[in-house]
Amino acid sequence: MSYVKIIEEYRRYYMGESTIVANNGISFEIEKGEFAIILGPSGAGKSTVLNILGGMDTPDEGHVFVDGIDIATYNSKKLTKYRREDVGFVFQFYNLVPNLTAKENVELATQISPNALDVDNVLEDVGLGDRKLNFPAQLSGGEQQRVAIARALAKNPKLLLCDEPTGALDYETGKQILKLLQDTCKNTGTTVIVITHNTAIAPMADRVIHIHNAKVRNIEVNAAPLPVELIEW
Amino acid sequence: MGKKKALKRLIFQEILTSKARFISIMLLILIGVSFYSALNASGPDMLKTAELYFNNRHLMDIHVVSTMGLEDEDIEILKLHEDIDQIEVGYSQDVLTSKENKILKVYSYDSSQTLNQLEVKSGKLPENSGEIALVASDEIEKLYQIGDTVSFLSDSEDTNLSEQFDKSNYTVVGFVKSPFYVSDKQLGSSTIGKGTLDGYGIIIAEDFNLSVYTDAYMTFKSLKGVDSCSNLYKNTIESYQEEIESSFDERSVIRLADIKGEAQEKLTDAKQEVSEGKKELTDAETKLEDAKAQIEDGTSQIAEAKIELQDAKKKLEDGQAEYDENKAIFDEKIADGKAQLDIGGNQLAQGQSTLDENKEKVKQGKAQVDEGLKQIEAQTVTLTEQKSQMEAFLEQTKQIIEVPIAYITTEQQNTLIQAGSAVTIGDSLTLGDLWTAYFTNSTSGSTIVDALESILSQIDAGLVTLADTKKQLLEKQEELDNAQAQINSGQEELNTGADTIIVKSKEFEEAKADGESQLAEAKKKLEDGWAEYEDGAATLLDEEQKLEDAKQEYEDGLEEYNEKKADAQKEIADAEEKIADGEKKLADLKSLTYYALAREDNPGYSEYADNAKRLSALSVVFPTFFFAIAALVCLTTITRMIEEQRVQIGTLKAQGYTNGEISLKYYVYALGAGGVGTLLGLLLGFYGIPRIIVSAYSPMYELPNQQFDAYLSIGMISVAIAVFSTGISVWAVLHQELKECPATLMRPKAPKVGKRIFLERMTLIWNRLNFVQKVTMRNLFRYKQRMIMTVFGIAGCMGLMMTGFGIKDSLADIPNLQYNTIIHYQALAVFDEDASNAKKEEAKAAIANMNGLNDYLMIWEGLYDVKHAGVNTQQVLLVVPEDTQKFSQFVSLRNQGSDSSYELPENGAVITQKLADLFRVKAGDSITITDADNQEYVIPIAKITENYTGHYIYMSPQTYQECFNSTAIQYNGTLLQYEQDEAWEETVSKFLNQYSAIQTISYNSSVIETLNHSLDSLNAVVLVIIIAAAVLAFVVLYNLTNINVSERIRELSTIKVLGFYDNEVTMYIYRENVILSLLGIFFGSFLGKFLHYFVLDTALMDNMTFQNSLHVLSYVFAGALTLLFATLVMWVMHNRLKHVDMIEALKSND
Repeated sequence: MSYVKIIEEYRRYYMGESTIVANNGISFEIEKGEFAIILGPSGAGKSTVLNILGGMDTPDEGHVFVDGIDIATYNSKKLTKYRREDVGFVFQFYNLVPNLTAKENVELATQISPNALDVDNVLEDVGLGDRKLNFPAQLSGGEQQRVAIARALAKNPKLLLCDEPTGALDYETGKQILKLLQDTCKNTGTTVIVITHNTAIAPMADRVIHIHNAKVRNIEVNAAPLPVELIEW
Repeated sequence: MGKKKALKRLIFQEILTSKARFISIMLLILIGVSFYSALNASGPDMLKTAELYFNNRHLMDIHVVSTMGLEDEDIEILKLHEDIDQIEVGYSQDVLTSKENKILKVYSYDSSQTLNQLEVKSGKLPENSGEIALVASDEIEKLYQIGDTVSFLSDSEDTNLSEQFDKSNYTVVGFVKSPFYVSDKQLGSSTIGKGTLDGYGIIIAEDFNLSVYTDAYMTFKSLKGVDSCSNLYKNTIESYQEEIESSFDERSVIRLADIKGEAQEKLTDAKQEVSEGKKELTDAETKLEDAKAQIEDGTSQIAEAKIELQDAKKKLEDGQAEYDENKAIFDEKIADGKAQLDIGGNQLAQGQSTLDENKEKVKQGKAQVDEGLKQIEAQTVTLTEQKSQMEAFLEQTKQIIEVPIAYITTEQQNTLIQAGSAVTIGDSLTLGDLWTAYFTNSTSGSTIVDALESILSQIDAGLVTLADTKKQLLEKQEELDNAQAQINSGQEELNTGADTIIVKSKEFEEAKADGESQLAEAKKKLEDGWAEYEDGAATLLDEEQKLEDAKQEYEDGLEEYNEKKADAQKEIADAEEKIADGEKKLADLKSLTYYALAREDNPGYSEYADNAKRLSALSVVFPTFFFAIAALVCLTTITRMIEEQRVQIGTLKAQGYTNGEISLKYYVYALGAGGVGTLLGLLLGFYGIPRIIVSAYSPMYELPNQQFDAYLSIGMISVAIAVFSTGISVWAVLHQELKECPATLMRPKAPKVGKRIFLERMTLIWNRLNFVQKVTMRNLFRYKQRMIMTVFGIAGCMGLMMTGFGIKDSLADIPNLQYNTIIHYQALAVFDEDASNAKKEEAKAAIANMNGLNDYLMIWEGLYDVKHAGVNTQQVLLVVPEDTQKFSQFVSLRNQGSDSSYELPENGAVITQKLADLFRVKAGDSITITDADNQEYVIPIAKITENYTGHYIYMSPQTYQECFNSTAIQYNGTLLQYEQDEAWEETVSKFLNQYSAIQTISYNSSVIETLNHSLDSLNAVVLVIIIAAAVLAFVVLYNLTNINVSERIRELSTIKVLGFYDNEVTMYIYRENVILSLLGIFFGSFLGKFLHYFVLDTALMDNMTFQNSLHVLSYVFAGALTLLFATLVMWVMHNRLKHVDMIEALKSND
């Protein structure tokens, strides 16, 4: 079985009388160590998929296997444990704790993770070795996102989930962040799943899952992904 | 208007979306306002209730009494007062009752009177003589039911109940309340018994036997409808009191003279009576003397009579003896004579009988002789015949024998046999047999002839014998004839003897009769003598009995006299003493005092008013807190709100809305919360909380129609404070924000920059903290405003609760402090100043010898006023102990807070701490005291002593003499020291009440009880404070946590996403609250101590010192409760945090 396998997953939101179907029978697989991109326009339901994969949301129907275990059956407590130990999350707006330094923000994650990596090393790896004592406000957007990635990686997660990680960044910085993610995937063998609406970056992924109107429209497997430096948009 | 409409909708939405904040502000304002208004309104409510009650019951304004009752003239004087509306008179008298020795004040009731109307709780008012209505109090209703009998008793031998009351037994007909008493537990003092009243009763005026009225009650026209708490009322009453009292100045002198004159008259009468009594006694003695002499006469007469009687008896006894002797002699003689006569008679009879016997014998002899002779004659004849027969036979036989037998024929034979059978020939052989035998040849014929010839010889012998016998008989015949002759002569002699005896008998009878008659005469005489003697003896006995009776009578008389003499002498002595007393009293009778008493002099009224005012004092402190905290919370909330809505403000501003229009929303929001809070708070404060506070006092005061009113002034102040505290915070925040240009506003405000805190520079500490602690510390210092506010709120909560507990602590401590560490006596017995020295000494001796008493100390005591401008006039008790050395055993004198006590100094007085504090005097200064006659005395202060209730001045007799220019001190009280219970005190009261010299006994135990009562009434107030503190803590913590959470929702969502468990998330934010709460408790302890001190020192009573140390337990309770509230908030927040939607929070960038 694939490392990540979603089978016929449904997620509906009930807003008074009307029902919004965010995920309408989503199914796909991602192999271990792959760099996967979930592509789709705004409101297509890709964030919902990521949230469900990240243990922040639960599907109404279907199965979500991660490393052979169906997390769709998890209760809230188990989901928390899953998030704590197996998932690293990177948001569009970094979501660093403003009152904590870069290092402390990373420590926030390692404090609770059983197989955490060395904080300084991770920060070194994301290129922030010399800025780790700065508060988020003292860092640029890219640097903040690096801290966020470091925080996600420091847990040594099974999955690194990134929701529009470059959405708030300029072109160059965004490129750098994408490179960091790609390198991380290659170097550490972490399975990375990135959500984006930017179709231009699709070639860098091992696998591209197109989601449209709450459904998987197409899955492409890229045998030879391009390094991000070679992609222009 | 359209835009305004939109704005309005915005405001509305705002309130709806941030309910919790709105409610927080509202609640804080509500608590503040309700507390402020409740504490301010309760006092006036209580006073109003009392006022209404008094007015409804037509309570008098002034109550006039005098030391000697009121006469009609006195009433006339009272009626002269120009403002008088109504005046009524009545009687009242304290009396001891039989059940449990309860002391009742009995009032007269007259259905025609309208003042001081009684409220009938059950049953009815007395209508007839012998009916009584009792106070409707638990204590009395426990003892009596309607229909029971109340028995009045004399409390001492000096009390004559019949001079006071017409009857001593009354039937209970109802239970009532009198407007004189606001409390049925504090009924004031009594003039009898243990010194305090247990209740009161109402009987009809006719059942009183008092010679003068005791009470006059007055109301005034100008005071109709005037609030008796108002200054107008007080001033008017004060001036009227003075006017009335001074209107008796002249009258009291005249009446005193009258009374003196009357008393003098009475004294004279009494003296007259005494001398009469003495004379009566002497008369009685004389009469007894006379009687005694008479009795002695009688006794000697009887003795004489007795001797006479004795003699007579002796004579009689002699006579009797003589008579007895004579009679014996006579009887003997008679017996002799009779015996002789009897012997003679006997002899005669014997002679006669012998004679008769002989006669008979002779007669018989003669007859025998005659018979014998006759027989002999006959026998001679027979024998002669037989002889011839036999001779014939013999002839025949001789013939026959000659003839042979055979020749004799048979016939002849038979004839011979036959003839021979008649003749017997001895041995049963007859001649016949012989013939037979002869014929048969058995016998020879000669045998027959022999037989016949022997028979013939026998007959011849017979004939000879007969002839002899005949001869003898003839001789005998002769002898008999001689005997006959002798008998005849004997008979003759006998006859002569008989004649003699007859004569002699006759003579004897005559002599006997003679003697007997003589004896009878003698006997009669004796008997007469005895009868006379008996009569005499009986008479004597009678006389003796009479004498005995007389003696008995005399002795009875004597005894009675002796008995009565002692009584009479005692009575006379008593009367003389009374006369002496009366004379002394008369001499001492300086002034007759009239008192005009106001309502506030009624028992319990002052304390009621004090209690009411004390509540207002508390209102200064507590509500201030709530308002301050409300303002802070409001500030934080509005700040947060505006921060959240920067963009909206910017947008509005960009669209051209004015600052005012934009601000409006926030003002409406804040003032709306404040306004609703104020409104609800006022409702609660005017109509809710006062009920609790008043109910706290309800065990003490049970007045009908409890008033709960709204007070405009309180409401205005509340609104002002609420508007100010909420409005100012909105203004403060908006003032800052609105200055900025729309562009800046529309950009999100940079999140609060994280920075290092000073603690990080202290690496030693910082490095020791673990990660979570570091995070907590940094967060704590990031939001200083909120931190301070939280600490302040929690400290306020802690402080309030401590104050609540502390007030109780301090009050609870007072009895113990005052009556265990300072005062070491248990009761004070006050002597009647007017009592004679002898009576005082008697009472003193009784106290000295009382069982169960450890010690006592004589003191002089007097009540004085200390007046000073700007300070409430204080009453102070001046105590001068007889023995200054011993005094330290009864009262500990020591500096406040010091354990070492000192003795009463010889020079200068010792005054109590609170008195010194109030009048700002210290050792070395002097203090001026004023007596009832407005005479001032300056007292030098030597030392100041610790004390907790009341004010005292202690001084040595020497100092007293110096200060008062007095030579000798009349000690008028005794401090009693003992370790006994209240039952003992009751018996002591009864015992000591027998001594008229003892006026009152006041027990510290009853003071302690009263103190504890007011303590109980505080419980509810403390509860209200604790509830308010709890709400305060809750609202502050909840609001702050709420703001914290909303402000840091992204942070919280992030850590949730990172995989923090629910409790870790809660603790991530709540750890700060715990630390802040602990800090709050810490600072609150100081705040509480200060508040407690402040409340006790400034807000409470003038005559009490409160120990402002708080019990450890109060800290613990307050702290524990505060933590409990914090935990409660945590639990609420935890549930909220669990449901935070992390995805939503993380989605956007704001």
